[in-house]
Amino acid sequence: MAKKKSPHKTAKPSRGNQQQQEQQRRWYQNRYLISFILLSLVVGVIYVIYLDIKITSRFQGSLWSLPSHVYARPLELFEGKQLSARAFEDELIVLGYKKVDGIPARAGQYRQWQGRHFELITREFHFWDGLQQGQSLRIDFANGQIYGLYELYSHKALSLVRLEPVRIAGIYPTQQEDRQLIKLKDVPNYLVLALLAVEDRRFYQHWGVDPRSIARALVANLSAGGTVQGGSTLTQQLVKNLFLSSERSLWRKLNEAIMAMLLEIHYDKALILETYINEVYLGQDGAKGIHGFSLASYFYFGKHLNQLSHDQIALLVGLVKGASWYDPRRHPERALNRRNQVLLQMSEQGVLTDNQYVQLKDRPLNIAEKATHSGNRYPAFVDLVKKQLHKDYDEEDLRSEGLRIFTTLDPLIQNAAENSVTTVLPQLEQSHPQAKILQTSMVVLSPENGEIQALIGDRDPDFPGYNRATDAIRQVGSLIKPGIYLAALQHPDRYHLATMLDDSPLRLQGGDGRIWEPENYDKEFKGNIPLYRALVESRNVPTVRLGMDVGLADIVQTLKKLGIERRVPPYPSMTLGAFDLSLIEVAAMYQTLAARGFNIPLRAIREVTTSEGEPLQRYPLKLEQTLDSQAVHLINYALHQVTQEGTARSLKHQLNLQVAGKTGTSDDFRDSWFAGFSDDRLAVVWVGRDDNQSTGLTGASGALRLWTHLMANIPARDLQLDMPEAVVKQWIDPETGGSTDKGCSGAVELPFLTGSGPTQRAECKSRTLMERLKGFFD
Amino acid sequence: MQITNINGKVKRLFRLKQSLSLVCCCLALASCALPKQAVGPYTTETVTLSPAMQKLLEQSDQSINAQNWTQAVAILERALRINPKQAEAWSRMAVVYLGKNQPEQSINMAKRSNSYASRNPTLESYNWLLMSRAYDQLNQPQLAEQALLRSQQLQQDIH
Repeated sequence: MAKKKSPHKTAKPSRGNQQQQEQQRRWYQNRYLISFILLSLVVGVIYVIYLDIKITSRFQGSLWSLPSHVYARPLELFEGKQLSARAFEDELIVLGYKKVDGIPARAGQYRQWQGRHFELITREFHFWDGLQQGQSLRIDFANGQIYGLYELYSHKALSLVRLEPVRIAGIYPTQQEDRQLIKLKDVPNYLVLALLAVEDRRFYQHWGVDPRSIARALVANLSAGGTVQGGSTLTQQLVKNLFLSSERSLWRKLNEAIMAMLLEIHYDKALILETYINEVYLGQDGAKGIHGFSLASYFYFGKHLNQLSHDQIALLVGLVKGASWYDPRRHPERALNRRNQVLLQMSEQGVLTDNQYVQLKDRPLNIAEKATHSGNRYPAFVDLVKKQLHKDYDEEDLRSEGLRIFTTLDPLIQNAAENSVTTVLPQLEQSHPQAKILQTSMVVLSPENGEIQALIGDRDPDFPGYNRATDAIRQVGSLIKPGIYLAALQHPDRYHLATMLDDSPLRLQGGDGRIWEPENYDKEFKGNIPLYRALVESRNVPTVRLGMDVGLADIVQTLKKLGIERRVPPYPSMTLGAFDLSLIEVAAMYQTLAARGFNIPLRAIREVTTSEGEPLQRYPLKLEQTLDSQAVHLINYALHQVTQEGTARSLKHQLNLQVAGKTGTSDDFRDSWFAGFSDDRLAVVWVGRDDNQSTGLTGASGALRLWTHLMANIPARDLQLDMPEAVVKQWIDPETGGSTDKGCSGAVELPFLTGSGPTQRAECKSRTLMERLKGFFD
Repeated sequence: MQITNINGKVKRLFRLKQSLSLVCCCLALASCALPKQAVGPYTTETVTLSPAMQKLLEQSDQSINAQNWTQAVAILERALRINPKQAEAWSRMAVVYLGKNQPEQSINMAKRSNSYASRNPTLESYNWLLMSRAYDQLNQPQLAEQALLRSQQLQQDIH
């Protein structure tokens, strides 16, 4: 039975279908929407997770690339130290100490009276061997030395104090950011209060974003018709500085807000604040950005953050808004206005009392004239330090790990060396017009420990270019002669200081058949001459004869023992220094002589620590006795005579100091050298031209003048020629080299190894009247 | 004038005290580092140390006793910057390098000490003893024996 179709039934389904279709359509539409929303949510969540990872990974790792800091030696103070009051004050000035009229009240202040009494408070400093607290001191000077060292208030005598070292350079990250990290606990509370009062009053209440601040800023900006106030919290500013660009877009603001909230979820307020204080950009020093309040404090005021007055802190806080715009050195008026705005806000916030505000707003800016933390000083020395560091550290680590490198540089000696160069070199150019533009290099070191105290690599000591002290290889000339004579004196059975050498014309034929006829500087020949006189007068011909007699291989071996590592060609001409060495290599050779046969590798670095002060590495003093002290003593005796009656005899009258040394002049006066030492200082000077043309200067008329000027201006002790064991003195006749007596004409007293002196007696002639008179006055 | 004399006496007494404490330190070092029968009395009546040097040598002795060799070297280097000819500081360097098992450096430091200890045969003897131990470490018994003999000879000369 067939069923009838109901018309309603046919009509109803059609309406139902429509509804169903409509519902389906809506459902599909909603489904797309929901899917879109869900998808967006997923993408959003993933993006937030991405941002979260970005933040946490940065905070868990090293937040910044920290530059390495290079320090000079710390100045040691103790009773009896050779140090003038003037030099001491120079050191304090370089360290950024402030001279005050009253009793010093803060670290980094000093008072001086009567030119020789000092009161000061030192700064604390983390040395390689631990933290040294600041100390209140009184120091008295007399006769160029410290004669009293006390605690300022108790007057208790102190045995030894060391000042914090001068920072001489930084090895900067490639992005040229410089900063000094500071812990929040070490930040003056006043700075925190000022910063929060000006930049983020509700820092401790918000979650990274502060709607109230945004609303307040919006109202302020709308009513002003422009941007006059920012609504960003410190957290947002930190996020922007660390992770985002300064682009002004809604997307950046959104990212900033999300990341600020994430930062607040992960880290406490103290860490965020500490990071901000170390991160914020506060100025520009040439190519380097000055980041963080700690470094900015040194950059603008030359002192530690804790030493700043309230108005100085206000200025630094004011710079957060725009370090370039309010730069106090370039735009002092703007900076003053900005500082006073900050002071006003601090007063409004109750950080300052009204009285304080009134007093502080009238103060001048008190900016340090020169940025004490500015560019690298002493480029030649720092170059040497880097070369030594590169043997142990990667370039990247040096630029990013904030290493603290303690070096051997003595700024007082370095400054004296620079002064000698800038004073004497122009005089040489004036007196020797053919010299044209002279160049120079110079090194000063302590012969007893090999520490390099000063290094100059260019006539402009601040020029950070070619380092002639380490990289220029020049002919050494007669500087090498002590090595030749030392090789001979190591055979006491064959040679002593009175051995007669032949100073007559000499012809030598080389393996290639070429003839070499060495000449003396004065083009004359003296016949027979005692060995020591040949060295004192720097005679070439007897030196070549002696060298050939001793043997070139023997000489090369002796030069190695003296510390010359470079291969020296075993040709006869090498006995006259016809080969090239660097200034540092010459210094290494003379160090072994000055240290009586102990070879000590030269050092520019003492220690390296991490940025936190944890010891990383020491470069310890090492030594090796490579030569008998007796033979070296004989050479040193002769080198002393060089400065009394030889090629450097001008020293006898121009320098009130007993020294030993040797001049050196290369062919055609291309190189002028002097190497010499006192008891505690060794200095080598080279003068020449970069194009290797003649200067017209001998060692005595060029380098020696610089050397003399330098040694006259640095503290140094007289050379002590203490005779070692098994050395005795004996009177000889210099005409014949025979043994004689004190009262005989021309007799000189020379040191000899026991039993090695001349046995043959010389005829004793009576002394002339002149000799007697001279003997009386001597 | 009277005051000056009294001050002079006080200073002399103070110096004597310093010398005695140095003697004690060196004896302690010797007894730690070396066989007792080989070490003679260590007298340094001719040595006058400045307060700065005294302080640093005391600090170095503490580091040596604690076998903190790196610290000891750093302190002794500081002492030698103040007075590079202080034979006692060089001698302690020799002790440190012996402790660090670096006998070559120990020998060099002892030689350096002797180059400044010509008026102090006791210290010279002590340094030869250190060298003897260092040669032992280097497995050079002949040189060790020679150094020991030299040390004993100096001791006999003193007595």
